[in-house]
Amino acid sequence: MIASDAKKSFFVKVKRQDSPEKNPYYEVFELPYKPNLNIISCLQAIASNPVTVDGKQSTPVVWDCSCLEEVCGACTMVMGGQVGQSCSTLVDELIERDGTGTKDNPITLEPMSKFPVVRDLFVDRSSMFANLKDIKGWVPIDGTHDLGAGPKEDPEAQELRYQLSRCMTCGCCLEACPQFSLEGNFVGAQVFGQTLYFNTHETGASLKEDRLDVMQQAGGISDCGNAQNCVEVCPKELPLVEAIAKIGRQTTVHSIKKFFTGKK
Amino acid sequence: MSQTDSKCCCGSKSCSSEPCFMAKNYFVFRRLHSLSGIIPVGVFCIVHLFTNFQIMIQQIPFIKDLFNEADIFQHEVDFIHSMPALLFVEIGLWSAIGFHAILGIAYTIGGKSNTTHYKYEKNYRYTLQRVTGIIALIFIFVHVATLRWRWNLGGWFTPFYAHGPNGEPLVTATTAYALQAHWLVSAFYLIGALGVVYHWANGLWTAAITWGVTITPAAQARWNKICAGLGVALAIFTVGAVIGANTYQIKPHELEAIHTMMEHGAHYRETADGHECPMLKDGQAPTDDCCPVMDEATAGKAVVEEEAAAKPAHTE
Amino acid sequence: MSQKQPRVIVVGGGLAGLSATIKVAEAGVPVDLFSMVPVKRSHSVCAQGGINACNEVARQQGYSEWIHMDETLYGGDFLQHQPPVYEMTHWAPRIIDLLDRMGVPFNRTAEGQRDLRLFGGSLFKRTHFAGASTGQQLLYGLDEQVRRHEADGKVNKYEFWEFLWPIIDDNGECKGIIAQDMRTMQIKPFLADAVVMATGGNGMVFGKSTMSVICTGGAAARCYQAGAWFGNPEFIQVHPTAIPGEDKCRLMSESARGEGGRVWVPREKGDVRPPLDIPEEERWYFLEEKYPAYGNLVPRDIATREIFFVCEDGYGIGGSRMVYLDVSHLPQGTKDKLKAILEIYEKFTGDDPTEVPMKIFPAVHYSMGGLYTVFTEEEKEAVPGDGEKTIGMKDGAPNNMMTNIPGLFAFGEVNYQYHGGTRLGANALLNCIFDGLFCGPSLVNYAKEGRMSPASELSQDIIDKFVKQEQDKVDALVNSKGKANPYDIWRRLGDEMTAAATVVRTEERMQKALETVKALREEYKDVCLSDTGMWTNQNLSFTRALNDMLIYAEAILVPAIARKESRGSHYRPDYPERIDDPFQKTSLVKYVNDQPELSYEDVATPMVPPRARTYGKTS
Repeated sequence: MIASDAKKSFFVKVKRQDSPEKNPYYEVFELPYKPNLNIISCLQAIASNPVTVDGKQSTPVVWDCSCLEEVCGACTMVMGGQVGQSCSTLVDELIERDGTGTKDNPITLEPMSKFPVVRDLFVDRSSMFANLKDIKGWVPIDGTHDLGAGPKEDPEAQELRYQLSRCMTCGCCLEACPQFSLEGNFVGAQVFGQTLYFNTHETGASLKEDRLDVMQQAGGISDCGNAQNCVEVCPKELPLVEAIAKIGRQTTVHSIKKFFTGKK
Repeated sequence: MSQTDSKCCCGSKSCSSEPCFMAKNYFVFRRLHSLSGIIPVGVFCIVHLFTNFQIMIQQIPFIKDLFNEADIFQHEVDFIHSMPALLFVEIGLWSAIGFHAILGIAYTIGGKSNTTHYKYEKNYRYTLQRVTGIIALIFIFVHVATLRWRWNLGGWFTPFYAHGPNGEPLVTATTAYALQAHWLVSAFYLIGALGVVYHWANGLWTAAITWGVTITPAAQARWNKICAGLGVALAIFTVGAVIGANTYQIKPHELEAIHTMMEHGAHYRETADGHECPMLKDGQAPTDDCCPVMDEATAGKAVVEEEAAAKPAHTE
Repeated sequence: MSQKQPRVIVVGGGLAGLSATIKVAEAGVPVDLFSMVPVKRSHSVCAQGGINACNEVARQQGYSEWIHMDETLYGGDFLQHQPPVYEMTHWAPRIIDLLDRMGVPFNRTAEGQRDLRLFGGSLFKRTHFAGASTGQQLLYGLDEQVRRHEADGKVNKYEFWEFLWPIIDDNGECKGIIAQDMRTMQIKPFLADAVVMATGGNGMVFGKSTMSVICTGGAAARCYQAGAWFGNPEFIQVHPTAIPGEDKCRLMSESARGEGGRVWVPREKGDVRPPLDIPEEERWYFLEEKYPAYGNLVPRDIATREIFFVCEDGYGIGGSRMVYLDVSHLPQGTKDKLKAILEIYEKFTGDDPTEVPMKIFPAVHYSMGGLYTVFTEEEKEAVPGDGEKTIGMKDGAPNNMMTNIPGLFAFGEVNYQYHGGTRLGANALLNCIFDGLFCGPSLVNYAKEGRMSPASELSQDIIDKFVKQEQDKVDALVNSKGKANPYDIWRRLGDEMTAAATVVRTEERMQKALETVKALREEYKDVCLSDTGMWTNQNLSFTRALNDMLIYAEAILVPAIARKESRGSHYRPDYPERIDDPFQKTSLVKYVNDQPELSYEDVATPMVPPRARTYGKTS
């Protein structure tokens, strides 16, 4: 590193909120610069010395994280206005992309706006897990007894399921979706991906009709507005557009079938 | 959300009211919304825009020579007007537009554009789809109200007449007259009609995803090219029609006929076979097969207002 | 809190916790599942490479469950109890079948069969995998089944709840836990007739490791302080290939080598040329050279030491402490199978590993040791390939994988069984799921019949005593007027432990580390919270766990100093040989008077007699 033009420090502005009922406010912190720092490192640095630029003694920022290698899905937040994983978002990237990091124009860290805030950058994403229950997001096996291998699978089908199975319930797709909101009942791309995932498995498909019934309701597949932000922001590059289209096809067929042959 | 009981259709997570008819048939409504945009409204628009395009085409000398018909536009409009039960087609169209618009507005309210932070092409298109939807609704309404229903919107009085008082062809002239009234009118038509075109072409692209026709991104990209092609073609028709309407030289006798019609035109209504009713004398009661568009009480008043309002606008 | 029906508490929602939950719920016993994070975010997601099991293809090439057991014992330098390893390896094929039925997207061959890859410590392809994120896929598969039981009302999940202490009655039997809601900070007792700890490893004790930030070892250390024993806590696996980082070291899976990745350094010391400019003959593939049979797939401790020494000798890239892991020569199809890990490397370093070799260095990865557990032996009917004596574990015995505290069990990484001196790659996922599935019925049997008294009869006084104990700890921290910064203490602990007790361990260095840890424990008494609020206070949670990490660190150092031999991951240059007499023994560490107290327990070797662990080294 060449000492003369190396940055010494940079600035981060964090949206704080002490509890769900309290009003949010911002705090700016100055942090020592190092190349290749990620956002988690910033928050760790703040935690060990939570003093704002104004010299005010604050508290460590609360945020959700676990694996720090972009596979658990915990540390999603809005950085510089865009959603992502704070472990794999590098300070250098944001400085370059947005021209931020200065005292007048610091890097902003905010909680996701489409989920209720618990505290600071920590939000409540339990609705995402609850939705998986609604779509019967499982393969209905007969139990854990020794009943031999599962169904054989075409490598191509496996490839699609594998890609869908990498969904880490991080919420990026929902945060970036213009149709998904805190108040609304739209379930969003995560659920469509998972619905397709289970519908594609031979045994999982036995609950396909139930899942498609859910998909047909308000908040289901037909509320998708095709902005396709989900697929742009998905950190795991899930084939979400494909999932949406396939679920669209399955529900179309399902409703026609139900119209002509349905008992209810 | 569970599969046995449907969600309320109001769109709120917390709503626990009993599912209404709309909620129970939510999916059907959404699919009909998609369908109503493509088939009745969309197909009508293609025909309509293509017809309009003739106003320019017919002004190009060598094309004009190809046909043994001086006024292709007139011919086509007469043909449309000659269709039996046109009224039912109109009612059908209005129901489709109304249905598509009301649901569309409801769905638009449920979304929130975020192109400031997520500058992706499809996201801009998502926002534009909703903006053009609103533009299209306003445009279609104003367009039909002024031309077809011959409303006078605060001095904007540009009615459409297929024929003059004596049955002479007036389609091209009256269209040109309407669009030449002010450059703002042309601009309004250009923006409005192009909005409709975008809304339809992009809607055709998203509908293929919605219905599950185009699955893979590659298929969607291919279909996108086709939709874009259709959109560009319709946009050319639109721009051509507006240019044509602006370049057309209204002949003095046509102008006179238009003015005559505008003075008394509120009493006219085209019959199903494409002919105008004979002019009614002031105060004369309309007959059953030839009734005025407006009811009696407002008709007289409207004429007076129209006269007062229309004059200054057309003296240029 | 009265409850007649037996109940089971599972602490930890990783592979071990979830598979135990499924088994118990399936038996009709209600389960309360506690996790500090939503279970889908447990550390098991980080496992990348795969899961080992004898399969038909390998079997027809001469492989068997017995060889799988033998490899595991050989890899672990014969320190483990053999019956559980016998049982685990013999169950492995059935476990794969079950996971397959659950819909785990295992990679497939063109015919649609489950694909296999080569992994460390074996000459057979016996590792099943789902891309390069197998742990994630397995965890999700189990999570889905748990969700199904949850939807049926058989499982209650307590996510964002932290385990604080086991409730132990006057007879010394575990009757439940004290836990704290990490959002509301409410401290509550939960009763159960059997409690299983499935709380994973202790990587955070070493500061930067490949482990998740939740892997503090805090839960295990709390049980240790409450009277549970540690077994072999000094055995810590250092993974040879990780991406060094500011906040953590990110794992670069062994599957990169399993699929053909090669480790090398420039032959010339301090060579600063870009890697692609260094011709083949000027590259030193030191693992392949030294271990012709296993090559890059020697067990992890060996690869780690070789990489470490190569760097010590000055052969690291440009003189640094990093070596190349090269997959750039592999065919595209193989690179696709590794996509999940290769894109992680690119995201964090900016270099595309399909084009240029990756720069890697060893990092703390896994805790072989952990809570001491017992089991009931049973002679098993031999299957083809088995040796003469076949001793496994008794199905459903109420004490399988129970700690020395009755009613308190330990499954998965927190359990000290199966791996001995070092763990073979792709055996951890197997161990975790096996514990849950095989010993889940043991939990049920204990809760129903094995217990001394039902939890519902526990006196309120005892419950109140433990709640108060935990509440007092919180109050003391919140009201502390000290000066010490917990993050600073943690950083120093991590640096010291990494320097003293990872790849190379000397008596002198470890003694110094023990002094440092003692000093840090003193310093901790003066610790100060920067957040004293009572709503979602992570500062409090971290600082409380720091004390447990310090206590755990001592429990690692004391037996490491006393084990004057080299075995598996425990490498002592001052005692470079394995010394079976007297160290063919489990280190038992008990918490007595705030200090670790060390004793030993013999390890029998009834099926596979110990042999020298050389992996065919040539020089």
